[in-house]
Amino acid sequence: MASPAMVTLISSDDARFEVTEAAATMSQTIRHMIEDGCTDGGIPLPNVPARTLAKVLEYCNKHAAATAAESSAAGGAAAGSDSGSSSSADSAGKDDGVDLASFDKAFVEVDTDTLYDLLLAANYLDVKTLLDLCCQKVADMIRGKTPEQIRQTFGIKNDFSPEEEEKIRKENQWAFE
Amino acid sequence: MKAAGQDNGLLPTDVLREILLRLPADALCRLRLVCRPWRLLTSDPGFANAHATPHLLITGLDRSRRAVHTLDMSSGNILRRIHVPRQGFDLTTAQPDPCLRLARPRPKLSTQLGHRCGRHDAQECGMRRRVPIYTRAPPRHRRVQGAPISSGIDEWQHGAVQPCRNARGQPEVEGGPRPPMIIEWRRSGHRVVMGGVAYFLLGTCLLNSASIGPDSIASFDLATEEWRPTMAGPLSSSGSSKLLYHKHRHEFRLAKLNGCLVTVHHYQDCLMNLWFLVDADKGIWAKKHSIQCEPGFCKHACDPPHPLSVLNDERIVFRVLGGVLRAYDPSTSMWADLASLGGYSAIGIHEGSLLCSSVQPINPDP
Repeated sequence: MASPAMVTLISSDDARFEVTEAAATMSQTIRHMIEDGCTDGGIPLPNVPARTLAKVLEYCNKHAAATAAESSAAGGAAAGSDSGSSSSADSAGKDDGVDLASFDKAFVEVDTDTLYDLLLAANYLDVKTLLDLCCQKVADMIRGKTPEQIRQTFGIKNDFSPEEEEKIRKENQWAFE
Repeated sequence: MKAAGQDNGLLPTDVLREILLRLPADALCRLRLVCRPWRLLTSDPGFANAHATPHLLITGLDRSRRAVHTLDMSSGNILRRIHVPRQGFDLTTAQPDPCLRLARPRPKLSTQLGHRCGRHDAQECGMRRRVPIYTRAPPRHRRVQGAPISSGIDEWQHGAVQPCRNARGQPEVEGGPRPPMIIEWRRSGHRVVMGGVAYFLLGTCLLNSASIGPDSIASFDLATEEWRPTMAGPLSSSGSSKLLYHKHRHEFRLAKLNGCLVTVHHYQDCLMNLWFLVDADKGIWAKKHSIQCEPGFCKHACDPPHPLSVLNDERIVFRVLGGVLRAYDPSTSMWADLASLGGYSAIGIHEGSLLCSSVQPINPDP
């Protein structure tokens, strides 16, 4: 088997990352750059620092590998020529599904700052599944918190006067009952 | 990327939007207190629209019949409870099956109700007035006072009909327009309110029915309070089949699916066709779905599976017996349970938004 095509990504602080094209193109932003032929000398990602890029690539590598395993398992099952190997590939695919879910869960068990960095990077790099994962994590963090707790958690300044707060409470009274 | 604000610049607006779209409507309304950008974002009609898709809202009357609950189908949580005041709005106690009411604003009534029921009930009830709809259920003539629970925004879809007759049991006509034919009003599925028009299947007691298709539809314009010409249903308008009114009229139901009037045709044992009225002016119907129900699914002819909504992924949500919501996937022809709302009656889709009703501008800057 030929070795997979590799691309080089360059973080905002000039760290270089060598990854498979399959992993890199989970990012639609990078996919477009590769399609446009802007890969000579590496792909610069001026919005993503090395620490965050490493984390994003950890996610992409894992998911790209799982996708490859899945498609080869499906291919094996479809061909059905070698029953022994196709059944083993099948069970490997299933394990990957469970494995991937627990990987995702653990992946976003990080501090708020890291989660923010991941969100921004996933948004900039346009990695849909990672963005979904991070958004869901933040939504789960918000759920059940009071407005004041949310301001503290996310470092938001309260820009309402007490009168305005009262007005908003009144407008949305049904939700406070 | 646009930052959400200097003090709240941690997340770009589009990312914040993605996050908040995952929260239920009641939480979002409470979170309007966090800061201006959050309030602005969650009050935006575009946001409310995007939010409506993953958070389908269901309304139903709770077991006590004294409250209407709105639930988020994605979580099954109750978002809002609206008390049903006994006086003036004896909505559902009179009839086991809630029915349509036709309404227009009457300020006096809303003032009275506002005094009696508190702010929210006043908001909910304020735009209502009973408009008598005249119909007749054999053997005795009855006057039906019907009023929708909702004005233009379809806040509530379900109401109750209180059958009334005068002291002598005579049909009572007090100046309201009569329908062109006898209409069916008692069962949900026999009437639909949509775009300011109430649609009814025709009633049980039709003389000279040989020329009438069993899928014919009467329609009443809520704004002008006038009956429109009776509309031919999908099968009788195509003229392809010979349907006998008395034999086939039980096979039809009306539904509203994502803003379109739909005739549901149950035929044979477990088959159901959904005909969409694609051009109301020309009366053109299109059969978009032909659905094989699960065996035994349609045995209860009085309460067959009833379509409520088409989801974004093309699945169709049905209400089936016992308050169960079930989704049909046209691409796989498979059914899957979504929720069980056994404690509720009159289950329907809540079409209004809980996010976007009473927002008043607050100055963008302090």
